[in-house]
Amino acid sequence: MNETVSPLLKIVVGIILLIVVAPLVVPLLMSISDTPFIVFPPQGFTLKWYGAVLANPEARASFLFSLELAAIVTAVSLALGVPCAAGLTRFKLPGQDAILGLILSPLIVPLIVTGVALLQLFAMLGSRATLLQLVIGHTVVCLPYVIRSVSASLLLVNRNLEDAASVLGAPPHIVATRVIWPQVRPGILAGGIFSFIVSFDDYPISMWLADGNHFPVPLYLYTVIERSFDPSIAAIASLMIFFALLLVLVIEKVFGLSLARLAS
Amino acid sequence: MATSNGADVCLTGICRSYGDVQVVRDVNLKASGGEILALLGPSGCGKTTTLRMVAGLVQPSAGDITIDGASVTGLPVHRRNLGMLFQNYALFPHLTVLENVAFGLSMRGVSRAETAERARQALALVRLTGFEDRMPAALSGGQQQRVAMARAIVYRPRVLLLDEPFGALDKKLREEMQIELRQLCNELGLTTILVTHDQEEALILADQIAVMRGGRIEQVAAARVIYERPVSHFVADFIGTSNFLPAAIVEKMGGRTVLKSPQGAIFVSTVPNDFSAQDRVAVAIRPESVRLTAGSAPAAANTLSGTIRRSLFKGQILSIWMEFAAGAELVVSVPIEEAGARSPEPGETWTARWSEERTLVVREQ
Repeated sequence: MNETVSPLLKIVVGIILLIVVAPLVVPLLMSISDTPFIVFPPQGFTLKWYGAVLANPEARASFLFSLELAAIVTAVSLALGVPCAAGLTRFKLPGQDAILGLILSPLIVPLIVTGVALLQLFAMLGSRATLLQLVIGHTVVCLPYVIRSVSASLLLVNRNLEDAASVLGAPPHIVATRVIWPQVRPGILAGGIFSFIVSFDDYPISMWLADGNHFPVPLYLYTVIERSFDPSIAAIASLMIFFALLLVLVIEKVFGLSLARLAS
Repeated sequence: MATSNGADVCLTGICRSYGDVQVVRDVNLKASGGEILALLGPSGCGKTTTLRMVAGLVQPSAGDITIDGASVTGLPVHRRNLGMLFQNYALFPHLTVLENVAFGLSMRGVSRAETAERARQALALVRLTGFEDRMPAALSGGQQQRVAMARAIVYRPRVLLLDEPFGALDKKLREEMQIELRQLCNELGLTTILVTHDQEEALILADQIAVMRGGRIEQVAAARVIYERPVSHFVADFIGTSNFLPAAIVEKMGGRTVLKSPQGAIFVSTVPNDFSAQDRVAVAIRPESVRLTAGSAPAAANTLSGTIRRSLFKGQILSIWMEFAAGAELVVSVPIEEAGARSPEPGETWTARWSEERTLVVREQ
């Protein structure tokens, strides 16, 4: 793990990081510009756009709704995805590959198509429960992430450890909590966080299913851009970036070490 | 720790099938208190399944297992109070060395202070004091093996089960660990059942060896007896190497069995056996039992003359192939010190002799 890294590798990694990270820095810089419209490079320094965004009731409502939606979607995805992954990895079922393919298919079909298909379905059913529709729509997209990461961690579980724990005197529920859980926890957590971020960032599904009272942040951002072009847009984008970054830092802080330990 | 807390383990008529495949057939075994019993056989012979049935990880299709006279057949794994070493140690990767060793004690409701104290003692016993806070991944194979050992014995189990415990270690370390394990088991007086496919390991570790084949027990006896008096071709072949000479029993009188080969050679054995003239048997001769002299000799019992075909230097011994009849060869091991100046060369005629006590009569398949 600690071998010396070749300079070439360092340069390549540096370039990749630059390509991935540099665009994210642009809205950060634009958001502190003390001008009435977006300019790059920024002129002056102010945090007033952040203040404006946070003081705006519409922006706050959208943000809170997105949080609520992402939390519900994550809970539902985990509740469905964990047993599903356990079933697919622990048992030999007929048509196992077909089931897995079906579950993962939303990753392949363009999201905008999935969204419009769901809209037509809900319209046919005459459904008006917007929150439920959004939860279903987002769960369809988030479930593959949960199942993939949980299956991966379940496949890595060492069955010998379960036998060892039983022989050592652990009844089945202790084996589950003290032996299986620590091994699959990183996978479940990673799946949960992916699910949260995918739902929080989703535009193409929400676009079809949302209404005025259920208006996620990405949709709000889009309408603001249409209305005006002041740096508060950049401030909203920056806040979303900070939020995602915070989540990733939390995983790394709490579970990064255990992931590295399991991998070694 | 207490001495001789080993229990008697008894398997009666144990069978196990998976669908139509019978993996274990009518196994009867007994390991008395403090004894080390090895289940020895090639892969797929049912030895691991038998061990897992004692552990409770596999349920027998028929038969009963008792520990100290009480049936454990229906008892769940976690209530059997056994210790077990697994092939790849099966240490919990997310727990420290001390936490690994303490696991069994905490399952038994032992107080925190006593758990820590006893876990430290067990680690001291396997010479790992100072490694308490390491993670298993940071240990060498031999150290992981010792942690697994400490974890298995710390709660004073009634029986210790070992499933190919040294398979992942290199030869030198394996030998060290085998000797260490043997001492530890004797010190603790633990009844131990060991599964292995390595005949040398079984001979080093075990008091009793049960040789298994195709789900059945082929022979159970003390290590020395298995080596010196194998009952079947399979056992003689699996433990050590042997020459097999087809022969039929001509007569049995006193302690002597007289046999005759199809070519007319006469063999006499004084090793006790239960065979009669109707049984299909063979004479088995260990390569190290044979003495070679130059030239041919008149026909006599346990004597074969022939032409040397090949010889191979193997370090401590010289292996020699002698053709005593068309297409039939006898392999002889000559210790290098005894080979002397005049060692057999290919093409020469030599005579092989062996004693009546070294002539084994085994059942042919």
